[in-house]
Amino acid sequence: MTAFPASVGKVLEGQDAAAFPLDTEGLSDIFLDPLQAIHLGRHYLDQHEGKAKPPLEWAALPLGQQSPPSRLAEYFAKTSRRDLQGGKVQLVDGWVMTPTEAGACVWAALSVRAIS
Amino acid sequence: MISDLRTRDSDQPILADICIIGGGAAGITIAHELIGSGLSVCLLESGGVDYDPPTQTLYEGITTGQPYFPLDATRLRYFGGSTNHWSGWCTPLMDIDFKPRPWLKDSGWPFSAEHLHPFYERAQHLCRLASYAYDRAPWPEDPPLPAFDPALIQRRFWQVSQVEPWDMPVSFSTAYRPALELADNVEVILHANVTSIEATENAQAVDHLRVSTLEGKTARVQAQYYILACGGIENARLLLLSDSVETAGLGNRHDLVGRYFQEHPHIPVGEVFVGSLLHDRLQGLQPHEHEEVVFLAGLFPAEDFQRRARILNTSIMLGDILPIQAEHPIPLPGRLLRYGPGPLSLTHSAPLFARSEQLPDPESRILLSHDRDSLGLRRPHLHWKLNDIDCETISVFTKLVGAEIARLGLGRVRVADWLREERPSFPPDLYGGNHHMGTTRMSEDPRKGVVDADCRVHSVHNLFIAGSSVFPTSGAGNPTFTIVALALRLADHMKDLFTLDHAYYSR
Ligand SMILES: Cc1cc2nc3c(=O)[nH]c(=O)nc-3n(C[C@H](O)[C@H](O)[C@H](O)COP(=O)(O)OP(=O)(O)OC[C@H]3O[C@@H](n4cnc5c(N)ncnc54)[C@H](O)[C@@H]3O)c2cc1C
Repeated sequence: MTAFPASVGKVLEGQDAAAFPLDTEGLSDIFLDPLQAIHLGRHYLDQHEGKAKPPLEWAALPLGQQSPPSRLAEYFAKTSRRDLQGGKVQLVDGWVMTPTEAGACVWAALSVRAIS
Repeated sequence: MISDLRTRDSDQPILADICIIGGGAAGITIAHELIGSGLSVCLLESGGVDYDPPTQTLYEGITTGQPYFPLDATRLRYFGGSTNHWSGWCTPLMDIDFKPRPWLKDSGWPFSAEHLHPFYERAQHLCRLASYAYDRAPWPEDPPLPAFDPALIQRRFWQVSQVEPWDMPVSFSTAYRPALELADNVEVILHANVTSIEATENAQAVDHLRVSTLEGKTARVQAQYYILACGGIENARLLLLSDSVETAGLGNRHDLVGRYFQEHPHIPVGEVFVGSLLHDRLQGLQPHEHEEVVFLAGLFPAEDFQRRARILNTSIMLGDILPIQAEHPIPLPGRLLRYGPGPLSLTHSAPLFARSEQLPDPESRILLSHDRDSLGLRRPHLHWKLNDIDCETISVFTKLVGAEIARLGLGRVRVADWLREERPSFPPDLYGGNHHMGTTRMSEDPRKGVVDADCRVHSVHNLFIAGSSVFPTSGAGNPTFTIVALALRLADHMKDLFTLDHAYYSR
């Protein structure tokens, strides 16, 4: 994970969130295609096989297949915003994503693995 | 007046108040500025007014380290120098480029950007550019930009002149030769290769220059002041070759001549995919013509971000934003962001390209090789060395641009393969911009620089250097606009020196 120095996050801290308009709809778009999310999640897991576990917080995501999709999207939008404001990004198959987005993909891949 | 050493009659030494060595952007600017000054000026140029293969081969050399262009392909050796085929991109260095940056060893110029601004404004005219505006668009209908966080990213412009009849960037030869031809106090002498700068016995001054044509006709030139303006590789080479008094080379007491060679690494960094309604928001990053000059926009890391992330300066430019063709569909994972009709669909993409500053490193350098050219002079040897921070800078900034584009909901960036590693290293297809900088760097401290803040060689009181070899650091902007600004400043300084000398002698 590329974390920009915490100080960069600090630049953003304490400022009016409205100053950093975030298109939450754009971010929630990621969940429109679960198959692709699974594809990316698998890619991430292949790449990190044996090297790193997905961060713990990902496992703790309050998701479950039961969660209504809109709440899911809302959750990811919110945490993705936090990620970006903290200056954190994650590369998955070359795509610049927030760790939350990457986590969502890994979560999708892991849940499929658990089912199959 | 323009003459030719091959057909010049007199065997007498050539005498002048000021002798300029080299007729490229730097040398021509100074000579042009001194027209009508009352000083006698002689400009010695190796080539003629046209490309000539035997002269051009004098520029051959060897390269080691990071692969580089052949040294005879990365510059031109005839009147006008490399401005005979340059691309014309001009932009001033940024404020931060002049400051000492504690996280970068050997950074900092002896003066601030503010000091250079009046000279940049004058250079604007010589480079045939439009209004002096680089951090804002000077046209009224500038499309709104994405709201990039100004503490992280800023947009800046390059300007590129388009000169009639071919709409090509200004050539300093074509533009300023007519005025030099008519000038009675300036003599441009073509086919005059300076082969050595001969110092006085105590090495504190230049005594005379040795000059030769390719055919072997020689001459001696004596002046009160000398200005070396042969380009970033040749300036160092000529000082190293001038070793009759100082055996390590003239002005090289502290072993700095030729060291700190810098380029601007150029490299593709990925692609941005944007939505159908949103790609308009990136129009402000596309080329725009204004006052017959092309403005090119780039994204630069804000000063604050450079400081916090401890990186160098750099830039990212978008290529053309084009609709994604059905035959080249968006790669699989990109479809995550919904591909197909709808306001948020990803329908357009543009390549991303970085041009970046390089860390000044004494091991990146010009040396003399053992091969000799047709004048019997040792050829240059470039050892180009890059460092981790050069790569890290581009990596961090590309990801920052990706994060900002995601934060603004504009789309997604997919980085180039070489940036996907945890610790990326440059791929072999990295290249430079034909920018040769840093080899006679400027510092007030003779142990840290070859020239002082006036571009005078420390310890050689009548020798000055013009060109990008004096840059201590190179920023992310192309060098020639700064070369011309510094040349104008040096021309003013020469006039001042003669006014002072005159005042002294007439007391
Ligand atoms: C393909 C290309 C594209 C470029 N595009 C850009 C761009 O878009 N923007 C930008 O800022 N820069 C660009 N550059 C770089 C730019 O051309 C140089 O920065 C600029 O020309 C340097 O000016 P100069 O006067 O210092 O040296 P030069 O232009 O190299 O001139 C040096 C002169 O000295 C003469 N000379 C050399 N040795 C001797 C000697 N021993 N005796 C007498 N005369 C000698 C040469 O014949 C030449 O005329 C480009 C370069 C190339 C090759």
